[in-house]
Amino acid sequence: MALEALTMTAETGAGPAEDDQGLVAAARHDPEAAGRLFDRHYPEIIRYIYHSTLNHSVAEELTSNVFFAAFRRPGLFRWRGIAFRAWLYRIATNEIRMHFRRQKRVLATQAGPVDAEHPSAGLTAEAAAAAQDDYRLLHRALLALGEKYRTVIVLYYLEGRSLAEIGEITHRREGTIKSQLHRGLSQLRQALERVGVGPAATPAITPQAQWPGAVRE
Amino acid sequence: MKTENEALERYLQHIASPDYEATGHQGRLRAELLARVERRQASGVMRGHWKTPVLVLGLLALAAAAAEVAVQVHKYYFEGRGPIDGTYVFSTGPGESAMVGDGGKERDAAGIEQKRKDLEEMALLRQQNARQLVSVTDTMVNGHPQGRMFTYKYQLSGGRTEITGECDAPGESDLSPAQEQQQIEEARRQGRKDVIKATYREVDGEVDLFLTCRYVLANGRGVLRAERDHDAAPPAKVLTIPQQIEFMRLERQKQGTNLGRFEATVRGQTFTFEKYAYRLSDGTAVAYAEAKPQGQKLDLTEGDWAELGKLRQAGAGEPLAEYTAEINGQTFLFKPKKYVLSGGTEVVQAPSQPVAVK
Repeated sequence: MALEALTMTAETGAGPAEDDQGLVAAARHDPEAAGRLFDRHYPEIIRYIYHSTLNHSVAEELTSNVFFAAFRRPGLFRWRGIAFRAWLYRIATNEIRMHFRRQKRVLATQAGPVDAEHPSAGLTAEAAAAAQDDYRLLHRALLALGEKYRTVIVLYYLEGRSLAEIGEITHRREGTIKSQLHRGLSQLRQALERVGVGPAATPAITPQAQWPGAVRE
Repeated sequence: MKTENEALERYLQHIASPDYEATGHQGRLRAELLARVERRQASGVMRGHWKTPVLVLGLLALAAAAAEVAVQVHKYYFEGRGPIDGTYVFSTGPGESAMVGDGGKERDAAGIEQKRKDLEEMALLRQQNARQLVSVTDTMVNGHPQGRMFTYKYQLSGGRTEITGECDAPGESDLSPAQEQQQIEEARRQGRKDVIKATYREVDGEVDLFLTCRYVLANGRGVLRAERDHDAAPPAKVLTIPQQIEFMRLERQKQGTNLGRFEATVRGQTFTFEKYAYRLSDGTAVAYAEAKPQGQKLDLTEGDWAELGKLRQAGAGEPLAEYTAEINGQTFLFKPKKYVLSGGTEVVQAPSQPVAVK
């Protein structure tokens, strides 16, 4: 029930895909088109990576890697078959995976480097600090999950990608994605309880109640 | 379980995720990305500073693109002979931004082809890290480090060996562009940056104005970067390598028309240029001017290098204190000597050899 309901609220991902086809074709001989393609996708890619790593400098480095890889001579011209945006997310997912593998030793002793100086936009300072703390705890819990579960949860719930699009990004069937979301949620619930947050442990911090302005549409 | 997951889903849907705060990264990345795309799209075109590599005998990859070359080069192309000393100029192919100059002996067509193949084989060996670092040389001009020169020995097919000086340090091919950028930022923070010159270039009326900056990274490698004003995009019109060779020939033969002096500001620094106009054989109009920062020299001219070579051969240097450095797991002993050129420029050059392990 829960997953079906969420499927209905998720984005279809059909937005700029058609335009991307034309822009990618134009970008082969027109830097202006390459620039527009970059401008269109940079915000969502760095946002995804930032939500996954919660570290500004790492997010910038990995985002640079994503676009350098995508626009590398064989890269841009080799792209075909899936939506360009999904392809960028796929590269980003791989970059995030490689980052955490490199950081494995660090993560074994701490929850990973996080930024403290970049609060959520649109909140009062106090609420932003609380939101930051809450997200940091969620992030810590996410880091306790298996790689594949963390990826689908972040893509689905935080980035609003559709099941079909996550399937493209991760090269898995929709049924598999649903299954991974289900298992991931169960693991996440336990992880959140361990760090003392989440709907079951502390209902008082339910975001709607505390920061109504921050509720995502 | 189902109800608990539903509650968790609602929690996830409504959690206020922190926004990434823009720091100017998007603009910097966009500029770098488009510059690369343009370089690759402009067939046979190389931007910027190609004079220096051609002036240096032997194999010298362009510092600004050394890491890129190390991981991407598979093909080399013979572009022609340089106008200064007949150096054979090879490029890494259409759209790539590196070229090498091969001076020394005269080559016939078969010799040029053999050299081209050798360069490709060396590029492959470089990617595989299958080369031997035989010496490293540090050079400082008036106290400004010039970037290390690494000399490698390549074992080529057929039992031949090639020994070349290159700008890239061992293991550089492992660096991603972002990692390299990080090292450059680090060098900038630590003040290991010199503005070498400002360049005014106009191709068919389209103006490009940039600084050539040298960064010396933590491993001693020198990286040259073209830096424009923040809101200035790289020009769409650039010279192909054959056009650049022709342009250099015209410039060297002083066949330009003097258009007078003018001042221009690049990244907050004002330079006085003396502009000359040239017309290439295909009708392309080029106007060009360079200006050095005021004060002491920060790098050596072609004539300075020649004079330094003579002083070195004559054993005229004043020995300074030796030092060692750990490079690629080996200890190198540097033996610096100070030379003073006729114009008063002070050069410290420190060749080194690996210290034998007992």
